[in-house]
Amino acid sequence: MIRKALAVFKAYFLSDFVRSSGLLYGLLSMSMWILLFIVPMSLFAGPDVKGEAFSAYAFTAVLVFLSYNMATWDWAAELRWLINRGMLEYVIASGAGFIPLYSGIMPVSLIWMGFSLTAIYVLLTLVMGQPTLIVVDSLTLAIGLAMLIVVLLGYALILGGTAISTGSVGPVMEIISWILPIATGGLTPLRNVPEVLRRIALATPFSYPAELIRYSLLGIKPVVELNYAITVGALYAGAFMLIAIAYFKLQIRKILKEGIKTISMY
Amino acid sequence: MWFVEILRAEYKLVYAEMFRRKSMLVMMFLYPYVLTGFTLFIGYSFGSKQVFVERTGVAPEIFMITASFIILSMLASIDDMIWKPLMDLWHGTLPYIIASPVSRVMLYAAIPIPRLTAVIIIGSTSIIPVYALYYGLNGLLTSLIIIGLASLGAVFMITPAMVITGLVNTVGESWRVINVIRPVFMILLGAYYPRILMPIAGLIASYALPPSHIVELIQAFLRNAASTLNTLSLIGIATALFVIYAPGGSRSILLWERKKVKEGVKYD
Repeated sequence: MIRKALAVFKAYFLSDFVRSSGLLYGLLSMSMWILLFIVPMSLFAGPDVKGEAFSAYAFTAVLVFLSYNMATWDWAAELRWLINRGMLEYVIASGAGFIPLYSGIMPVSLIWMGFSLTAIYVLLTLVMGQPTLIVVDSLTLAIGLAMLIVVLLGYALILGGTAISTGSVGPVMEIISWILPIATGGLTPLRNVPEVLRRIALATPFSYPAELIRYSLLGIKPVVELNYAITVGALYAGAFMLIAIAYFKLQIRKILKEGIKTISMY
Repeated sequence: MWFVEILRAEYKLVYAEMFRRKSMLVMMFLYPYVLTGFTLFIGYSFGSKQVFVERTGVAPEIFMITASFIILSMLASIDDMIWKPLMDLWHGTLPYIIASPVSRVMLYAAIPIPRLTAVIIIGSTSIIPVYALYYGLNGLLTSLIIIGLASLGAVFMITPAMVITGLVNTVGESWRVINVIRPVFMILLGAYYPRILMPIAGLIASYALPPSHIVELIQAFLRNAASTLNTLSLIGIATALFVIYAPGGSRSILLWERKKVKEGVKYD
């Protein structure tokens, strides 16, 4: 299995980072899109808000947003690309399963994420001022990040499973990738959002890791008590993951029975 | 083949595609609201409406829905042109297009025009209801003027987009380059961040883009600061730039075409 995962890693790494200067162009493109949406936010900030504080705030929002995007486009949409390239049938027929494939893809995604965050940090430093990020609680940060990865994997399994069994197309994924971070409290501290939205966000497993990460990097306390956020968040993330695995397996069984739905190319 | 015939064919293609792909149609309705919600949500969570109004002279809801509408209108009408050579390459239809008797310059100039319909669709489901809610009946008239101006802006974008389409596909045929250029265009339009607030380099680059003058006019219009002289001068500059880019656009497409004829179509 390790050999297979390494082969996948090498293939994707070369394709995404080395060939055609993909890393450079990818970072430039992402930085420009982020700039397009982040800079206008400064129009809301009064003279009392320092550039560095704004940068720190923007950086954590981008961190969570990019994580959601990674799950949507690198993990869930990958299944759709496999269908488009006519490869999904071979992956299933090979009997290797999806674990070696994703064991190879996930490190590439995380390396990409690391590069992206570095680029965003530099960009924010140049445009607004160096983000004042102070790790308030490293243990909580580690728990928050681990929880976030578990929740995002679960989300990718549900979204990817739905995509392969229903033939759901890119536009749906695009809309989800915008709405989900807003609706689940991924972008802003739940303290600052209206009560209704706060309740909706807390009913999802996404809000807990986001609150923990914000607390550990910005010092903004979660709306619920810290230990409660850790306990409930961890349990919720675990349960969500189990449900997602069951759902994904069900969808695989469905396509094995019914065949893969024809979907639009883009 | 006459320009009108090409235009008719493009119209048929666009409408068939638009109504076939319902998810795209739904996205057209949703996207301006999603982008507006996104920007307002983050903006309000750490800043204030008062500060925003002081800086831009317009309420954030109106400013952001207008900005989202402008950005999506530009993308809806120009994106297909920029991507067309690559899409044709990937679909395997490029050799047939190159071999066809249709003028490539006319074809690429015609592509955005049917897509201007999308501007009206996006406008009628985004700024018309929001303006009507904010300004009542006057809002309806204002939104129709803004839709007209945005359509004009999209038309003015055709010639610089032709320059870019030809050059990018001549040099590298890389979708990665296009993915960098698109957001840069969107930033330079000044729709989300008024160009008057941009640093000097950004301001100069923005002035070189014809539709950015229309965007400035739209923003002045929303602030009730659009005098007749201001309106005419901004439209005049945009028109002049549109004309200036035209020969470059034509040459750029011909350059790409000549390269294809000389070297053949290469598949990645």
